[in-house]
Amino acid sequence: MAGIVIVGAGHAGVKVAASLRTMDPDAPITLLSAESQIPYHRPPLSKKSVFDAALPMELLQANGYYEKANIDLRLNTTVTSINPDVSSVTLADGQQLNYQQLVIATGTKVRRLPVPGGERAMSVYTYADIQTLGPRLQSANHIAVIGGGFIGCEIAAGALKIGKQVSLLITGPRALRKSVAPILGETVTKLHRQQGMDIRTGCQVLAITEQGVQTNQGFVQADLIISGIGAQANMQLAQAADLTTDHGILVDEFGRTSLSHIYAVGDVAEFPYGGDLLRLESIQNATDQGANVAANIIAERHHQAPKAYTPTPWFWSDQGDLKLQMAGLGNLDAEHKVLPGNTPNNLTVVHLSKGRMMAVDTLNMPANHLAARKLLEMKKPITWAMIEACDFDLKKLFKQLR
Amino acid sequence: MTQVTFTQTDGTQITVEANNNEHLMKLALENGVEGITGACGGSCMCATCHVSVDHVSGNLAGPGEMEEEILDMEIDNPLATSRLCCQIFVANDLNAIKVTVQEG
Repeated sequence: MAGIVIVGAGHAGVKVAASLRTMDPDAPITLLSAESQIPYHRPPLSKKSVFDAALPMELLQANGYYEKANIDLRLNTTVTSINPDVSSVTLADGQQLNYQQLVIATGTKVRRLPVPGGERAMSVYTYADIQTLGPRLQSANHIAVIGGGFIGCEIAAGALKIGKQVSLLITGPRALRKSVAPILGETVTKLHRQQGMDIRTGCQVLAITEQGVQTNQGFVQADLIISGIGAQANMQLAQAADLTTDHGILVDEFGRTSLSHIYAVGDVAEFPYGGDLLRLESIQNATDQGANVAANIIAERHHQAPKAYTPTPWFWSDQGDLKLQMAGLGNLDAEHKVLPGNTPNNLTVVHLSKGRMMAVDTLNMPANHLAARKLLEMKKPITWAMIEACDFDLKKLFKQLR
Repeated sequence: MTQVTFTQTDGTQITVEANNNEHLMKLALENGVEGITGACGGSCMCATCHVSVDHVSGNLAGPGEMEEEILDMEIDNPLATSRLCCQIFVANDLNAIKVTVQEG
């Protein structure tokens, strides 16, 4: 009997499967993964696993879970097409799998450097990547990391911490330019430099050779080159099946794509958010949207009304000894105000738009992050005056408003 | 080796032997302990690995700042013994520990 087929077994795909099983003990669930590993946590790959070969892979669910939960997990299984007319997917071995509901959770694929020798730069995306990269990183002396986003900074800081000479090559004026408030990006850049990281801003990569990286600022010698220049939605399957796409597969607030009975979830999905469209690469999104889509599939199967996905985004990044935590969706155009009480290594920045708190970035201030998350989840207007009236204590403000 | 016992919400117990530096959330997932999700992968960013500590033989380090904040703000009625088990690490001087899975 046809059931629910999930393409992709990252955080989002596994969350859909596990949530479905919690809500419906009997629905047939098939979970397809192109990878050969039992589904695992990705964030630790760039934060710790790649620096320590002794660290085991962290599984999303226990090895025996899928069998026990009667979820048909198929590893090494690639989908070659989605056939909406006959409600099936075709697998690489030619087999057809029928579905009643299909979930596309194909995530992203890393961007490759479009320069001569670009293929020499290694990436950190899958467990297979770090199995190759880990030993090379241990034996390398000078590592060049290309890209000043979260992944690039995490790898550069981690490599520095295990005693490597590290150059971080960034096209923009500071690290994390697109991700956090400017003052936080500047602070992180300064703190990494103080630790001895060679950060080159305004640096364009022109070519990669066996000896290092050719840039607009000269040659950077390196015996290992790693790139972290972002990812793009992995949506060829959806495009070939004529689903509507933009930067991701377009879904409505219920996770439904342009074709009936087909959902998309996690990094690959672009969903309505605050009057705009948003594609998020985060654990929060994979987990919360996964749970939402699972509930909406159950609703569809029982002819009930779906529920909208209304997330409060949050993110984190571990960079050496720095812990960055972001609540809400920050914006470079927002007004950025720093909460008093910061020290050189601690910072809380509030993003204000039209006088209202939209996001809060913190550096090594976990209590403020959590309070900000709780405040944003209340979806009430929070102004700077309200924060000031609570002596800039976000937790106090939350407890007052709760 | 440290003996770790999880009591699940239905009262049944799972006991495992653990190595140094392993945290209890990972052990729970690997051994199929019901009720432990570990959504953030042990980064102390969520509250889906909440347990109460029933018994400790040896030494157990207390919770850090972030863990205390999560217990205070994410969990409705934290117990005096509440912990996030991704922050409980097995160590040489921890001989045995028993925990009960709590609502996240």
